[in-house]
Amino acid sequence: METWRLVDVEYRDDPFMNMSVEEAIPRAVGEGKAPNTVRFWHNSNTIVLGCFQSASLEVNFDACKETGTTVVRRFTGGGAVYHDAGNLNYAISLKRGHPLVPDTDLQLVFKRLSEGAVEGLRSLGVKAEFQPINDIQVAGKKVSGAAGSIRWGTVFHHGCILVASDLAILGRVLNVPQIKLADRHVVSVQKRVTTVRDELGKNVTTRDVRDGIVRGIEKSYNVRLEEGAVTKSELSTAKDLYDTKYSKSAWNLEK
Amino acid sequence: MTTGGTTLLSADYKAPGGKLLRVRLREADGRIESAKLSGDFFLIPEDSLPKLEMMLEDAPLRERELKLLVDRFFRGTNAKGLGVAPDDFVNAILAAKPGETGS
Repeated sequence: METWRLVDVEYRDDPFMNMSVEEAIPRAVGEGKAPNTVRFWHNSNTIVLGCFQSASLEVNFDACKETGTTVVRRFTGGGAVYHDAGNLNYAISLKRGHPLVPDTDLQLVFKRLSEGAVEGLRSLGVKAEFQPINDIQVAGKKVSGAAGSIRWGTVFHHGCILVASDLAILGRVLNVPQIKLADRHVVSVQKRVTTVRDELGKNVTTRDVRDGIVRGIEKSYNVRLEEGAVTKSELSTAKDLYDTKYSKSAWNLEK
Repeated sequence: MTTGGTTLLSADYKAPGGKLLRVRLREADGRIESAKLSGDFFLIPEDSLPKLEMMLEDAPLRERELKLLVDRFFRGTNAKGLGVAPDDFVNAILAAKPGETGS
């Protein structure tokens, strides 16, 4: 049975460093300096923009100021998401050519690499289903969104799971274009998303969900996750990325 | 909006069954002076998008030419979109034209 590395490295109050580590790991995996890896992490109040999004169009900066929300851009496409302590992030980095996702079809990557999270959520009692292009839904409401890329010799997939997030803040800090809401026949972002807590009708921690997804990944892909740490080399890469990219407003805000 | 012969045009275009493309253009005399494309789509390789924006500079704001240009971009870069097809880029840009619907 194949073994993947499991890391829980996070910088809850430094979303820029979190994003730097998020890029350093797939770079190391692609270079053969690190094994296939699953990472779990949290951010405090943060908007994470997709790499093609315009900060000025997507972000309500007044609401961000009022709520102490930071804005950071990730290196993958897709839409803006809101992170807080009730949101669990996971990331899977597999060396390119891995038999689980052997080709360059990003839709297949999303489908295949969402299966572990779907299985984990189901094991907790959440009736989760993958919904193309990149969502996990419960009865038509989004509980998780994913993004990913195929670069640096790595197939990379990451997602965030709304476990017990503050949906009221989420609805304030993001400007959701009317055309997008109209297309989905709903009136607000709050009404088209849900949380694991709301679906289960009881308090659940991000740790419970993390443990469920670890089991879900092991079952879905027939692998064993072994707890480990990021290497000095990965941390060094992350610090460089922090200094040159993720701490810079030129990267985060100027698209 | 017009400033000194340059018109600022914009459109938000939702690809059918796909993602949102947001176009912000500066246009003068029927040609694109500069183009900013953004949205929640996926495009691999990610760093190819600025190339498309550059290719659009000085292009006529007409369907036939835009279609050729966008096709040339996808062929030349081997870029692959998810949630957006090449024609969606064309349609989104055309939707910014005065009198077109899109946003």
